[in-house]
Parts: sequence; structure tokens; C-alpha cells
Amino acid sequence: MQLLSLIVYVTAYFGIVISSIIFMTYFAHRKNLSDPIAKRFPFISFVIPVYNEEKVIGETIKSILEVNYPKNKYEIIVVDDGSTDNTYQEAKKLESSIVRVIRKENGGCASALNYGIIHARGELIARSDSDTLLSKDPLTKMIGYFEDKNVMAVTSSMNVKNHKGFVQKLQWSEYVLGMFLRKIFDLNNSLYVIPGPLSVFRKKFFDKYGGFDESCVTEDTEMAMRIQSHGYTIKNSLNASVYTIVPETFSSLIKQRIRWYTGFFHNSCDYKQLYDVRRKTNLSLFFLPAALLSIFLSFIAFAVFAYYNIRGIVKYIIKLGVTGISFEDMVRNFSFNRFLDLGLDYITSPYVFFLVFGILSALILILMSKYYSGEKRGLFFTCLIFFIVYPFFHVFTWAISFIYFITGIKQKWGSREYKRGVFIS
Amino acid sequence: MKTLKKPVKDFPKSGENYDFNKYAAAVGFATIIFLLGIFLGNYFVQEKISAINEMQDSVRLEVMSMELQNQLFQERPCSDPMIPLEGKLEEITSKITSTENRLGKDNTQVLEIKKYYSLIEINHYLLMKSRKDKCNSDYSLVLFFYSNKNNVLESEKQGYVLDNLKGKYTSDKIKVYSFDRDLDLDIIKTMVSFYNITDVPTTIIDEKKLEGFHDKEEVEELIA
Repeated sequence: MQLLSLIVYVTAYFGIVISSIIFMTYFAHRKNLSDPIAKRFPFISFVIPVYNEEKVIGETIKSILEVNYPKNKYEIIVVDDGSTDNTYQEAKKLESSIVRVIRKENGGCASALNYGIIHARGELIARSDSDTLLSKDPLTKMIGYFEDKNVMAVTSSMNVKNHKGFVQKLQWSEYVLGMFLRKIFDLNNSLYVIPGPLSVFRKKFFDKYGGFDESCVTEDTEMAMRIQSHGYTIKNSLNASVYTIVPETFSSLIKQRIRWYTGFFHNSCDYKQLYDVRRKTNLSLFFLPAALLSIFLSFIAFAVFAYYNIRGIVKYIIKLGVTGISFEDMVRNFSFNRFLDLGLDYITSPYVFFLVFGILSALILILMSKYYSGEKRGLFFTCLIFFIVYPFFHVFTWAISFIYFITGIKQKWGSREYKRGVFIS
Repeated sequence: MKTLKKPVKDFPKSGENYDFNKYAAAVGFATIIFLLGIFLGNYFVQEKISAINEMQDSVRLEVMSMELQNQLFQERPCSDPMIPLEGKLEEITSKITSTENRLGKDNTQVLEIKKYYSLIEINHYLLMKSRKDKCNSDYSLVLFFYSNKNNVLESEKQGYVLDNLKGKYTSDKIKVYSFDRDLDLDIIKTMVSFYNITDVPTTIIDEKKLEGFHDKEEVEELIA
């Protein structure tokens, strides 16, 4: 009993510390969340790796052609990674002085990106996925950050395009929450993921430190950690909205998450120097250790939660086993006072106080994210699903990923399929 | 294009960006919120314990008053009306169970409350027994000895059966008194040796002893 209480209290305390850091960062920088104004328009090369995307590639190219940026200041390089359908032909139809289409043998996303970077002329490289819809002006909002010579990459605010459906709604709140959290991480110079849908890099970094790691399943995290390990900065533009298509089935979502999370564990091992507190950075002192610790504590907190609730359910089943199921008994045993007592008992428990604190903090962050990102769609149902289902999903996928990681089970990615902006094995 | 992953041994100066004050403030703020949560939780537990104590005191008074009534009407022992206290006893049991769940079964405060409650139960039992004998009442008196240490599951199952029967027959027909056999209380030890309780759960229905778990039908047969 005491041990369980201790676990709950440690988890709760840690959660409150994280919330405090987030809110304090926000209050310290709340007047400083807008993007710096770009003084010049450097040449940008969009690199779009594609694989079997004949239906959407045209639309993707057209959406990039419509972005607010001087037409003579950017190019689009579509890298067809050995598609077996008509992706190459479809892209070729739109080839122009701005759009170039090149093809190579299938080798995965990172290799396609690297191939595109080799052919790029830009001072900046904008990486975008084949099924990401850009708003009109993400670039103008992002490039101002490159006035700072130490900035090597800028990330955008990634939102969900296909938000209808249970699996999509499950992810939507997470994405919305992620938009604001990414800014908080940026304000602490602690971004350790550069997501695919739209990120802009300084080409100089690739020239000096190499391209994307082709052996890595999460090349975006690897790149972010590499930039951090060299002491450079990654920034985030909260206002640069991009809309991506998220997995629509549980199996594809779970596969995606296992890939992300095992990738994170592997990247953490590869860049363990980032965890060295002697670096004296927010990343090494707090954000990376907190990321690992929060995974560990979420396992434990979930186990405690499951223990309490499963024990209650098992007891009830035993009770029904010895007394039989009788509606008459249920009605007779129902007493308003007892019900009220039970409710009061729950509400007055310190565990519930901490749970409510956690839910409120997440809700406030989601609402702030909605406000700052200009999201107009209603978030009620996605929040409901998020708070009820997401914790189970989160713990389940991290647990499976951890097993994959410690047992060294190789994920059979095979020739990776570029499906709707995410890779499915 | 090659991927370079050289570990950086010399930590770049530009990377030193942590703000000690922010962490100190966050830890301070978190500590205040955390302590507030603990304080509120404890406050409510203590409130509940005081409520239980108050209820126990009031039941104790009622029992005493019934005892006195009994003595006053020696010649007409069955004419005075009975004060129905089973509902209150039931309420105390439910509050003790939830406090036990909150603080743990070995918690000193919980054990003290349970001891006092056991005394009240015995008091009530004796009163009801004397009434039953004198007035030839047809209710069954059930003594239930359970344990939180041994055979816990069997004890719980027996408890469910008795609870169910209590609900089915109401207190006019069956009165159940539950005792934690392991409670460090002399009167419990005396009862344990008097009824020769060697096994848990043990259910004594009007002096008939049932050892171990017995299902609803078996118990029901013994109820008057």
C-alpha cells in the first residue's frame, strides 16, 4: 500500500514539475511567440521524397507552387524512390523551371532525401512529405529564424488534415498539443525531433556533417539529435501550419508508433552524450531525461491504475459468482448515500486531485495550442477520446517499443512504403 | 552523401542555455501544488475518520440507552420498542471499508477504529441475544470471523454471501456481526477461544458453527 502510494506520489510530483516548467517557459516568453521577420529571401530547395503516390503527387506539387515566396527563389525537387506505379510520370507532367523530377532505385525515405539534397541548389533545404498540405505562408514565417547563424533547422506546426474517424481523432489532440509543446521545447532550445511534413534546414549543415542517416528508422530524430550534439539550434514556428494525413487504422498507427519510439531509444543510445549533464543545456539537464523518465513513470502509473481497477472488477466478479446475478439485489443494494459516499471518496482522494490537475494542465495546453495555431475546428470529441483512450494507447505502444528495443527484434521494414505521409512497413 | 555521427566531446559553449532560476521556481511551485494535494487528501481522510468516530459515539450512546431500557423494564422486557441501529452500523462499516482502502489495512488509525467498532458490535450483539432469548424473537444472530492475512479470498467471498443475505432478509430476520480475527483486542481473543475459532472464515449462526466458505444456500438453510 505504502509502495503504491509512493509510486503515485513520485509520478504526480514529476508530472507537476513538467507542467510547471512548461507554464513558466510560456509566461517568460509569452510576448515573444511570434516569428522573427525575414530580412531576405534565401533560395530554398524543396525536397519531396515519393514512393507510389501517383494519386496525390500532382496536388502536393501544386500546393507548394502556391506558397507565398518569390518564384525565382525556390525550386521543387521530387525524388521518386523507385515507385512501381505512375508517380514519376504524373510528377513529370508538372516539370517546369521550378519543378524538377528525378528518380532512383528504391532505398527508403532517408536515401531519397539525401539524393534530393545532392541535386539541390538552395541555401536552405525544405523537406516535405508527399501528402502534406501547406498553408500559403509557412515559409515566410520560418525563414526569419535563419537570421541567427546558429540556427540549423526550423520546424513547422504540424496539424491533422484527416481528422474525421476514431483513430484520427485519437491522434489529433496529440498533434494539437504537440504544436504548443514543440514551441515550449524550442524556447528551451530542446527540440529533439524534426518532423517530416515540413522542416527547413541549412544546407551547410548537410555539407559539413552529412545527410540523413539511411540506416535509421527515425531519420528525423537522428538529424535533430545530431544538430543538437554539435551545439547548433533548432527553432519552431508556431504559426507555420502544415496539415498532414495521419494513419487511419489502428494497425498502421501502432506500426508507425513502434517505429518512432524504438527509433527514439536507438537514437538516444547513439547520442548518449546529449544526456550528459555537463553540457549544461536544458536538453541534457531536463528535457531528454524527462522524456525517458516520463515513459518509465507512465508504465508504473498505468500498472498501479490497472492494479486498482482490475482488482475492483475481479472482486465484483467474485461477488457475483457467490451471490448470483440478480437485478433485485442491485436495486436493493443501491443506496443514494452509499453512491454519494463512494463519489465523495473518489473526489477527495489525493490521487484524484493529481489526476484532475494533470487533465486540466493538458486541457489548458490544448486550448492554448488551438488559440495560437488558429485552429478553427471543434476539439471536443478528440479531447474526450484523448483523455479516455490515449493513455492506454500511449503506454501500450511505448511498452511494445521498449520490448522491441531491449530484445533487439529487427523491424522488418522491407522496402518502405510511402503511404500518406507516413511510412508503413 | 555520408552520414557523420561523431560524438562531440567538447561541449559547445553556445549550448549552455539552462536557467537555474526557472528550474528552482518550477520545483518550488510543483512542491506547493504537490503538498496542497497531499494536504487536501489527508484533510479529507481525517474528516472521514472524525465522522466515523462521531457516528461510533452516537451508536455507542444508543446501545447504552437500549441497555438501560432493558434494565428499566426488567419485568416487561419485550414491550419497549427497539431502536433500529443496524442501518447506522452498516454505514459505519462502509465508511471503515473505504478508509481501510485509502489508508491500508495495517494503518494504526484504521485498526483503532475497527477495535472500537468491534466493541460496539459485541455490545449490540449481546443486547440482541438477550432480547432474542427473553422475547423469543425469530431473528438469526450471525457472528462472522474473517482475516485480512490468511484465506483472504475465502473471507471476502463469505462476506459477500452474508452481505447479500442481509440485504435479502433485512435486519428483522438476520443480524450479522463481523470481526477481524487478527485484531489485537482482548475481547476478540476471548471470543476466538470461546468459540474455538481455528479456521477463517468461520460463521456462527445461532451457535451453529460453519468453518471455511459456505455458499448462499448452505447459510440460508441455517437462518431461522
